[in-house]
Amino acid sequence: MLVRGELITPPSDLFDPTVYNGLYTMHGTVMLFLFLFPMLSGLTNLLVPPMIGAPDMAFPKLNALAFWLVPVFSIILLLSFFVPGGPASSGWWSYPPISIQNPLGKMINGEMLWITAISLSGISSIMGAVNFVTTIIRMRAPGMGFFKMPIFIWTVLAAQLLQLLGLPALTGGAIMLFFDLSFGTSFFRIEGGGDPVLFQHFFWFYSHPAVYVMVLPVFGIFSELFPVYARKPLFGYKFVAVASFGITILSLVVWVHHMFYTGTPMWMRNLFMFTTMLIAVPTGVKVFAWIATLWGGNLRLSTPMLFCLGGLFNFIFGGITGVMLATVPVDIHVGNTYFVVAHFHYIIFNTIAFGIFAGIYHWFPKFTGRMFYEGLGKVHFALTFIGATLNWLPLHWAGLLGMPRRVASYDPEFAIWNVIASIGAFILGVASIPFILNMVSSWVRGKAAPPNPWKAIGLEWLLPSPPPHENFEDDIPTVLNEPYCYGLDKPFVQDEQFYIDKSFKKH
Amino acid sequence: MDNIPLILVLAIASYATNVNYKLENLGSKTKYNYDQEAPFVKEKKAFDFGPIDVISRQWNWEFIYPNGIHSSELHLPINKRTNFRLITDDVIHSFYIPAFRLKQDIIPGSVITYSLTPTRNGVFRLRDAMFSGAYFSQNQTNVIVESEDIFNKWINETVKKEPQNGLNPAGRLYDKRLKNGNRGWATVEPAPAPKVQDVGLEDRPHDG
Ligand code: HEM
Ligand SMILES: [Cu+2]
Repeated sequence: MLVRGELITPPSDLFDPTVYNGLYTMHGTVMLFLFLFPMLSGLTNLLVPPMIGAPDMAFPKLNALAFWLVPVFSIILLLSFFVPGGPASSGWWSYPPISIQNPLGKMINGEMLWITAISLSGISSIMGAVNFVTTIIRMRAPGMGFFKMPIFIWTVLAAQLLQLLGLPALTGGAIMLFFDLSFGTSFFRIEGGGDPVLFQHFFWFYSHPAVYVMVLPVFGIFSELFPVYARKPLFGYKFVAVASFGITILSLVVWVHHMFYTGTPMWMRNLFMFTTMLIAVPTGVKVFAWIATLWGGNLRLSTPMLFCLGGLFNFIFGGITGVMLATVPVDIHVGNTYFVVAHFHYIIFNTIAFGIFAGIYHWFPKFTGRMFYEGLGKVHFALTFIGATLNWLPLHWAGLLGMPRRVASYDPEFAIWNVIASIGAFILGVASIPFILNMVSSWVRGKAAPPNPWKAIGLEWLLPSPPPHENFEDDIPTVLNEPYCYGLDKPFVQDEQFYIDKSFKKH
Repeated sequence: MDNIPLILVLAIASYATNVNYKLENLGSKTKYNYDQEAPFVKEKKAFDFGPIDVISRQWNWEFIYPNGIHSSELHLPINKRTNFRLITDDVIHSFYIPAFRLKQDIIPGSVITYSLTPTRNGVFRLRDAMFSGAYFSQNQTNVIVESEDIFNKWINETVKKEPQNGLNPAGRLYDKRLKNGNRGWATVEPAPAPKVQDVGLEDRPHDG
């Protein structure tokens, strides 16, 4: 909000540009590492055990450690606002040399705290990933072979394997940056023969996959919810499942598309343009499958479904601008402009956050035992969709006209797009009011939720709402089919009626 | 049906590869020792004009022409393939002229050769596109594309002028900040204004 407040008028009049730079750096970092990542791991933590019929995660102690590191690195990061010189202000990329200039020359500085927080966040995520992968591989219900797992579980597995493969690169890069900053080493410092571009490779080798770590579980949420609210089996279940791993593998070999204009030689740019384009294939498989699932379905436009449909619409749009950015001659123009900002907000907010909202509404009755207010939910959706569109759609034009990103002030010709965007941001702020109101009041005094209010198929829906501490304990159902046989005469588990009756019993 | 995206993206990528070879803006990237002058690199291709040295700093631009002129604005002759040596004195900057639809990062410790052919007369903005610190948004100047005659006249007149302080809006803002008690978060000091024969015009109306 402050960032957009500054950008509502062309000159930098609200605060000094150094303050703007610190704020936008912290905005990006906080949103990614203190908000989206913890939010998604929280949701994953909640959902994985009941969905696969496990009593808990494989290593509860490791889980607790990973969890408690989040407040630790959050506090370190937020403390950096109060050190002399202010917080880190070199963007979430933290590219050297700008990130290691350290103007005040102090040992403790915003950048140093930033790197520390990011490294701890990486360690926390690695511990989390080990836990998720082990749990999913070792602790599934009897009968739940890989091709009977819910798609959400597939996507979590694909995303967490990606964390394990990619995070060491970022953490390694961050540690080298730390040494360059604090101890004068020369991994990236040119004075000692280092190479600043090397850091960009470390950074993007992880940070490109990172966006897929976030978006994959949201693909999972879409795949769970569309069949429920369209009352149809998921189209092409096996293809959708395997496509998750296609994305994992491809996303490890596309990182140079963030470096098309850094002096990367022609052959390498062309090569990485092709690999990036190939990602459109597994992604396209999923999009086609969702549309085919919806096609001719008996759509129930409840709040979670609206967020899914909105998210899918925005994702198609963001995917198209993604392909534009992957096209080298286009990226050479719009790279590092507001076009990129618009593209990734279409993915990160208009798709990922929409998916998270959908998931929260969908599973809210299951985990709180209360129903939410549908009316407030719809208001929340309408405001969010309008605000998000007004906020990020116009910024594409600002970028096409050549407005660089990360500026604290801009030429008057970009003003109109920025004014609209600031209004959109304001509406988004307002949109959070019905959401918070809804969550708090329905949790406190909403109607009691039945075990399966949406008539959904899935192990978690065979549990009481909220589920008992150890889920199924030692009476775990045997899975017969994948959980998408809506309208087909195929039972999901053995003795289904027995478990349904049991889920109504108070514990 | 599932092959549609594949065919589509392969077609786009092949076409784009072609465009890349047609443009061929990026020349060589040569590392050099930090305390020495940036070396001259022999280019394989022939150019109509150049090389012009593009010097980027926190936060101003300076252009040095083959005959020794220093300028705060970039004057270019129309329809001539012009060669540049992109150099930075401090952090990464980006040589971005939106109207030309071209950008190239400038990497510390390397000299990057670059070439382009302007095809339209006019005044265009050159904007630093790689975040370079406190006064990043001020790190802009103008590119003036003119006919060969006017360009040659500019060269011949400017070479006779005495060097003086060139465009440096960041320096002005930084002085203002110091006068107001140096509030705000930490920043390195802006580089001093370049000594140039053509000081340029900060608010020159621009076409793109
Ligand atoms: C699937 C979900 C996607 C997510 C989460 C995502 C996210 C992002 C993010 C966060 C950035 C900006 C990084 C930064 O500059 O700070 C970005 C840039 C980019 N994205 Fe996407 N994107 C997605 C889809 C795509 C697709 C489908 C493509 C292409 C096929 C694509 C191609 C690009 C390219 C080339 C850039 C670099 C632009 C630049 O910095 O010059 N993205 N994306
Ligand atoms: Cu990427």
